[in-house]
Amino acid sequence: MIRHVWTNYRILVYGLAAIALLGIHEITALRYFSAGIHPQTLRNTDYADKLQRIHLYQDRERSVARVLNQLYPQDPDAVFLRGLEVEYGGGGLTSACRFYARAVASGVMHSEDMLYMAAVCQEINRAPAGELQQAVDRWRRSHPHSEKYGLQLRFASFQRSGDPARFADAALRSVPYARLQRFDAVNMAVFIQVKGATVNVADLRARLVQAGFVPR
Amino acid sequence: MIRTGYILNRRDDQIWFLALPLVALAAALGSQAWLPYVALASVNLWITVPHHFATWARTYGISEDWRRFKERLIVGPLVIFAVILTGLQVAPISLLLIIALWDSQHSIMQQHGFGRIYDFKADSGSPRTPRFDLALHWILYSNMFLNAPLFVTMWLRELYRLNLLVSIEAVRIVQTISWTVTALYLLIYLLHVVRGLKQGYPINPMKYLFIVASYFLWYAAAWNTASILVFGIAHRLMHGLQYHVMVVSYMKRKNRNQPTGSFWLLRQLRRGNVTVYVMAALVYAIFFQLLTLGPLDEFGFGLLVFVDQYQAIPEHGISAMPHWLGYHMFAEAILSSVAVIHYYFDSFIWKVRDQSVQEGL
Repeated sequence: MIRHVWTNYRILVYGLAAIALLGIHEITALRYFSAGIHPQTLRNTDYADKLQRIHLYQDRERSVARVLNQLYPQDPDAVFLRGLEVEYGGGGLTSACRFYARAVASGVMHSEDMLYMAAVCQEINRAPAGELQQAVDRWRRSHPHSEKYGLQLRFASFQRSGDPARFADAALRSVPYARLQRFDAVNMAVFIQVKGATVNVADLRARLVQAGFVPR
Repeated sequence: MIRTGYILNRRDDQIWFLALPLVALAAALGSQAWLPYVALASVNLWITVPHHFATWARTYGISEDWRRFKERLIVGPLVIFAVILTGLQVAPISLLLIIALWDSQHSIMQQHGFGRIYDFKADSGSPRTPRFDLALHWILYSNMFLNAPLFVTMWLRELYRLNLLVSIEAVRIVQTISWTVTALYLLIYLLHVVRGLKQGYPINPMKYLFIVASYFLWYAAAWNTASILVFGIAHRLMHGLQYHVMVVSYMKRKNRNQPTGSFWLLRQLRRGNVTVYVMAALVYAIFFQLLTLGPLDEFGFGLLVFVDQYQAIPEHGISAMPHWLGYHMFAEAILSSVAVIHYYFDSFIWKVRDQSVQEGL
């Protein structure tokens, strides 16, 4: 029996053994089944996500960002991680933007995080409309099915009385590819959930201005 | 002593085994310049998914293979699907990492297999050459995996996600060892070839040209670009198309020796009817995409944008359908299972030492 299994299924046994060994490590190291912030879920993803952020860029001494930047300082992924390290290490988004812009300038398209952050930087730095549209196109054309992030549009203020989120929601309702994700009152930022490869930023902004948002 | 042998014939080998890697690399670089990232998914859909179909056509379509491997062809998929479904819920990072590694092993074994066929066809190489060849492939591929920035970035991130922290010194030591082993092994391999020649074992130059072309594609794509798109497209084009070519040729030759089969489609496939084969593979890809609720845009390399099919239709009381609901897990399991079953079957149906397989070569 054992001989039969070994002869016919050896490669499967190797695969299963590897998954079992690594899987046990994963379950214990990432504490999937211990109580998390959301104990009603099967997996404690809170701890795993937190640990991942620390290991990727938050731990300045031992993060993968540091290792990759020493190994391949010109690699776009390493440059992007360096940006994250700067952003979350106290430098803020504005300081990190030059790293995001450098990473995207290399022409790589595989990292949605990178393309999205480059678009966010264009918006917060008040880049000309054409440049922002270009950054959004690059992001959406490469990841048209993603709903991971909402397009961020910032304004100076809101000039009507009432809940700005309600007005923004109403303004976007007739746009087939967009809907309101959330409204950030601190930064006066409207987050728009977009779908597909084609997103007309100027049109979305114009609709929101018409609804009462004041351009910066 | 040189003895040339071909897998297909002189002209087709030059096209599919020597020129294809260069063309694939050029196509990938062109995609990077002119197409969005979705193009990678399109290549996967039109080339990689149908090459799984080629495995099913051989395993379940050729009655002789079905009889020989019946138990494995039934038990294997069930075990693999169960493990993947469980793994996705319990230890997803580990599961996907092992699948990625098996993908690499599968790629190594395919190129090694073609090398073995070259030696088989030319009756070249010494009895020890298969082992030397296998080690050569493992060392060359591993060296790329351990050193190319494209791969280092990926595996380092995965290790860190698994809480396995690797210091920069450790990475550098591993890379130095890897280059040293590669250089030493290339020397040892050269000595093996020279020794074989002295003992009267000929070499097949086509095999070495094929190996050089394959690794040129891999190394150039992995080192000279930071784009997963370029490597992914180049690799998938080479791996998938060479596999298709091999399966068509194999079934045709097997049919010549043992013409059987009652089902029309299988008869056509076994006759090596390329048009029917391509049509069947493309239909399979379309069904696969629809069955897994894959985005329609992936059919068009990012150039064709279809209307999103998940929009709400309030007039008919149909709300927007988020595709990530329960069915997504099922689709993910199918996607991974299909690839792994293909890796598993290929690990035993393509043994060049197998006399039955030799009839199809």
